[in-house]
Amino acid sequence: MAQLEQNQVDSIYDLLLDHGLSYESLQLDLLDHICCMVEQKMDNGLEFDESLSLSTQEFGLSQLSEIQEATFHLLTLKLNKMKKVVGIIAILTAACVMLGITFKIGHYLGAGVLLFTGFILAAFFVFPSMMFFDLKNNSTNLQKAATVSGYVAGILLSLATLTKFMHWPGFSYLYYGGLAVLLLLFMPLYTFRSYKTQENKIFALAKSMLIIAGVMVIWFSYRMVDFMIIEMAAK
Amino acid sequence: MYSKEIIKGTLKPIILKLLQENNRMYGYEITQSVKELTANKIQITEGALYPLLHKLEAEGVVFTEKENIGKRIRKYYALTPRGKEKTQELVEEFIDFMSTMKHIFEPNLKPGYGAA
Repeated sequence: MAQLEQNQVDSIYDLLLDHGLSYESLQLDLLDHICCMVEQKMDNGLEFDESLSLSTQEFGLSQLSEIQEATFHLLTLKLNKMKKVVGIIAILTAACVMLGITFKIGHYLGAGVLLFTGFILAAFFVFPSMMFFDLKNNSTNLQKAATVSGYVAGILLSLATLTKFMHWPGFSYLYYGGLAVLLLLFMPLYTFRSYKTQENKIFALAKSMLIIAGVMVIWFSYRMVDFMIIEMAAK
Repeated sequence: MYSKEIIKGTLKPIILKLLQENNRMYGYEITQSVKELTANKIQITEGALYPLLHKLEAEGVVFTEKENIGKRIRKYYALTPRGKEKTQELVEEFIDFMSTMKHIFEPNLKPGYGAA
């Protein structure tokens, strides 16, 4: 039985890469598959080059990327269904918070229930589930650290806002904890990552600066509320 | 060769049945053995086989073992204990399905049918 040499196996591997096959586990399968096809033809008396050209014709190298796509599709089918469910709950959560704040401003009944439901769902279901999905797409530890810190900051800040609205104790721990994670962990990681990966470095920096500016606006508006309460109390 | 339409739902039972019979197999071996067993009437395409094998692996129905074959690595697929149970159920269901199909497509075989 014919057995391919290292350089022959390598040349087939290069063909796979040239045709966009990047998923390692599938590379092993298909490299072995095409090698088997070539070896079988060599057993029938053909030379390597001829066997390879016949095998690749028979196989149709253009289908490599389709096989890869079909594999990804099958592997993510269940995940996509879960994503849809989480997406619907996330929309409801956002609606709860938006309605809750509107009700709160208008002093309507039910603001507390809506805000409570919204922030609890956000902190204990929506953010953790989204973090899970994002982590599946992250390949490097840097990406994973940025994802986790971002969502942890989101969870802490949602809980902080909830304690504020509900007049519960513990606001400052959650709030400053959230801000610390956001500004000291997430932002440096996010900025570093986008600076490294984005082609337009200025754009990457601008995005990070805008996020920090946004956080400062939110922080300032909290302070404003405190000042207003103090002023009202003084009057 | 049968049409794609007919073969469609049979791929998974075929692969699982082969793995049940052969303990462990690699992709090319599966395609060749289906070709031989069906006298070329069923040819499993790589485009259908590998995505399905990977899905079965993700579901914990099969597991893989890597082995060096000459200058390359070969991945063998085998049934997990859970996969063995599932395969047994699926094979029994498939056999039952084939006998049900016979009632429809070969009604003469069923007593009381086709007498007139």
